[in-house]
Amino acid sequence: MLLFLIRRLILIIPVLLGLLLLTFLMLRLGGNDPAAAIAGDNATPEMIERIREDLGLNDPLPVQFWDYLVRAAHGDFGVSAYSQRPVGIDILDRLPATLELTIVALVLASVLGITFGALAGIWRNSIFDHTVRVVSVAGLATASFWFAIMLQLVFSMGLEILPLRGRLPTGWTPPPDITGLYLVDSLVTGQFATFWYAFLHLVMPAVTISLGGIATIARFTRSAVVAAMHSEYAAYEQAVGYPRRRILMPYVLRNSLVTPVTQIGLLFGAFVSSAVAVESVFDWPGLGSYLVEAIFTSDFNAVLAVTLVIGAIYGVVNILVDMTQGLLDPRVAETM
Amino acid sequence: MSDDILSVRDLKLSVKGDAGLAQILDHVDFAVKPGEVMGLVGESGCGKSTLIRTILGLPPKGARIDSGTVAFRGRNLLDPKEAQQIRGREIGFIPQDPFQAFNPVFTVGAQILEILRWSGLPDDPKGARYDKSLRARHKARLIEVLRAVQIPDPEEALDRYPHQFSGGQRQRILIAGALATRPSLILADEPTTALDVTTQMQILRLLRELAADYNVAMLFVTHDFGVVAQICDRVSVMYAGQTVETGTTPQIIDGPRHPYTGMLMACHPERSTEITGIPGQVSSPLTPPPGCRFAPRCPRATEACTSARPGLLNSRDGRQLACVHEEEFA
Amino acid sequence: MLMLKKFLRDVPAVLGLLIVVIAVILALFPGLLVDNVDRVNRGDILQRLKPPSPDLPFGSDDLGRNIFDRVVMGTRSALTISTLVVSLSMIVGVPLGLIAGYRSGWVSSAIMRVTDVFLAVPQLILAIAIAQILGRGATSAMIALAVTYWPFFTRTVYAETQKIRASLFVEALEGYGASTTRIMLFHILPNVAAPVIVRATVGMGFVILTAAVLGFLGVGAVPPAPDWGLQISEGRKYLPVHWWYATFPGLAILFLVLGFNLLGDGLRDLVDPRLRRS
Repeated sequence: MLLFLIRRLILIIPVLLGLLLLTFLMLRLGGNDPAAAIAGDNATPEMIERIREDLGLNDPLPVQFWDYLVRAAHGDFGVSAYSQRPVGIDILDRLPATLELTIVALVLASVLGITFGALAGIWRNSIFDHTVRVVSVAGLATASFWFAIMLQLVFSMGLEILPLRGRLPTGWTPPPDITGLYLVDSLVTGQFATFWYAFLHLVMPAVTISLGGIATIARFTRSAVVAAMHSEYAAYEQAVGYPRRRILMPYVLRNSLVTPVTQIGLLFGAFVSSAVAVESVFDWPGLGSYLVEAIFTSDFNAVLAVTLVIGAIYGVVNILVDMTQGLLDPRVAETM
Repeated sequence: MSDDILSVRDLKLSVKGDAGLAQILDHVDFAVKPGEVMGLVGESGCGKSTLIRTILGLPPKGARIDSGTVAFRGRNLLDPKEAQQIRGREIGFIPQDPFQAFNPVFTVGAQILEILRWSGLPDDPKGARYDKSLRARHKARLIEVLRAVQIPDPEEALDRYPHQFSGGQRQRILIAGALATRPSLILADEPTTALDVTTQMQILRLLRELAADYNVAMLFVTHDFGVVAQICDRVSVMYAGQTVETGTTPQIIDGPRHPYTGMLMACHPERSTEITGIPGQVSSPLTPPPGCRFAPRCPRATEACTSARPGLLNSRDGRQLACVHEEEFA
Repeated sequence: MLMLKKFLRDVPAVLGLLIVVIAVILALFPGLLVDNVDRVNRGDILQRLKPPSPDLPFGSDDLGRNIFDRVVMGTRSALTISTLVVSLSMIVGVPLGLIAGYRSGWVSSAIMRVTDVFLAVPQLILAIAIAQILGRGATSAMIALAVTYWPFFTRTVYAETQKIRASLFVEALEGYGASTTRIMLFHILPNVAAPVIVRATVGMGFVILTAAVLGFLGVGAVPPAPDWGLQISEGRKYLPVHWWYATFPGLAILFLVLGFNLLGDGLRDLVDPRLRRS
């Protein structure tokens, strides 16, 4: 298991390098001049040229890429052209907000998706099953940014029961920075009012992001449950006198979790994607909105570093998923 | 006939499906006596699987019992509540495919102990809660039967997963699962079909020995007369949901009297020099022919065969036969 | 014929097909529902921000344009983008998948590693970055989406080709001395067609959604194009009073994507009975 972990972690490295190279070439050959972006609107050509020289932008591309890798390996991701701060600090600032949002969304999607999917599979062809199916197909077809706006329209502007934007009410002091996750930090320090507000602010963004995930997981869980209930082993379990509820739980259910768990890993990419749009709708100060700003302002260093972070998180999530699969299925565990 | 362990009398069962009402079983009739191995032979699609599920009290979805009885020691197996009490506890079950019958993500020990948990052992203390000590009792019993089915190192085997055993070993463990609750009848659904020939032989020999050692009766379902010859005391032949002939194994194998039995046996490569088949096709249960269902394929069929279903009559040599031409072959 | 009959029994799939067919007809002949196709970008300032009424079924926007007309015209832009993106992705992705799946050795691993890299970034982010570099506009959005979507086809085709390559009939063909190109084009390609079609159908929905996000974030279509994503982003400014402005374009996205997804599900059921929903 440990060997598997190490091997998989090592395997992430070439993918990350490829990702960096791809982003690097794209940004470089794409025509937007990062020196101009740093210099700002009032810069003279001489100033820009000096910045180019300082940043090594006149070196051959392979040299530039190598220099970047060497600096990145030492934890130096350069300075953001937009915020004028080290990119590493910016990312550390923004990452917890996105993590909190995606983790809550992932938990929400897993719990609801598995529950709805399993019940739909058990009560196959019931009204509940049909409802879950229609809702999940529709959920997958909904543009998340539009759904977010509709939630705002109904719950913030109409009913006025949920806050419109941000992580906390304007002017409210954030909890002490321990993990950066407001829910955790406020709970640990006993600031229950802050916890409650942070929770209220999370509801709509998290629901929006998890919408597609709930649908996907429910669909996969349902078909796995149906397949398991019609399996030979379920027939055998019934024939040797297991009670029905016992066959369902844990025998059928445990078996049915293997496929949805794989999906959860694949969903992470979709979650980050929808976080980009959803963060901008809810003014959520996360990595997604940071990245969009960085792309729009040709903030070279920021784009590269955020891509790297997202790629790395994606890789780690997939390893976690594989390990969970190993816990659920001994046949998979054996290959680890 | 009151000493029968299992008796299936005149069982007629139909299943309502998308395509209409399928008459799957049409007057199936046989009995299993204590301690004997009874063979149930028929081609695939003749209703064997439905029959097994019905005996276990789990008739297929949409099934309707049109007539007849299924009883275990006089207790009605067509009553779902009664059947739930009997299945697993007093009727052990060995499934067809040891590769598919185990849930792949649980240890074999957990799965077989689960049978004991819900069925209990006859000598379990009355009204005891399922706790550690009861579980330990069950485990001890399971290890004992695993040893009987020749699983090496049974204590350790309990904690292993199905895929870590060969097909033959898995089938042995499933046999142990059927024996563990000390049932008086074991239902074996083609338990050797999925195995290779050598393993098949070993499993058959083991079953034969165990049936004798534990004095347990067995209903052995198969399509293979070779298997019947090796293990069964008596045999009942089914065609398209109808019982056509029942007798002792030597009677049936050495002198089949129903035309179908004879032709089916001729299909067996070891018993026939040339490979023959039975001309025609098994009739659809949706539109069964009137009278004897074999009549459309039977070389000796006459008008009498299609006018009414021949009843299952006791023959002079003690076998039962459902054929209007019975006297001709006597 | 049996396939067709099976398909027609699948009510949701037929519903999906119906939505898609209607959308295609509207995209080709918007004049069926829109009075003056050439004038959808021109508004009547006196009619600005009017709520839905019999004359203006979806209301009017901040420039007094008929939102219903613009939503109908948006169908054309959504379908054009998604069709082109999916076709481009197929042209690139399918041959690469065939080669990677049929050949072994470094060619195959090189293709698959590159595919992995593309799949390791969330598609939307890659698309935003590319679209931004290429400059704002529908064309660059299209190229960006195609660049992000081809790896899905490569993956699908790669997996299928590997399965088929291991089968007896390919071995037999190789034994007869059939050329590699011939085997790939005439024997493997037809066998991977079904999963590719399913993938393409689902991909249409995915691309429509992603293109809408690009429009919304301002890296896609340029005003005054009747793009759904763009309309939602403009309409958002007029919430909550003028709720219809942002609502109806979103519903249009929902319906069209729903159509493709239902159709894709139905096709998958036909092609791969193992995943049957029933």
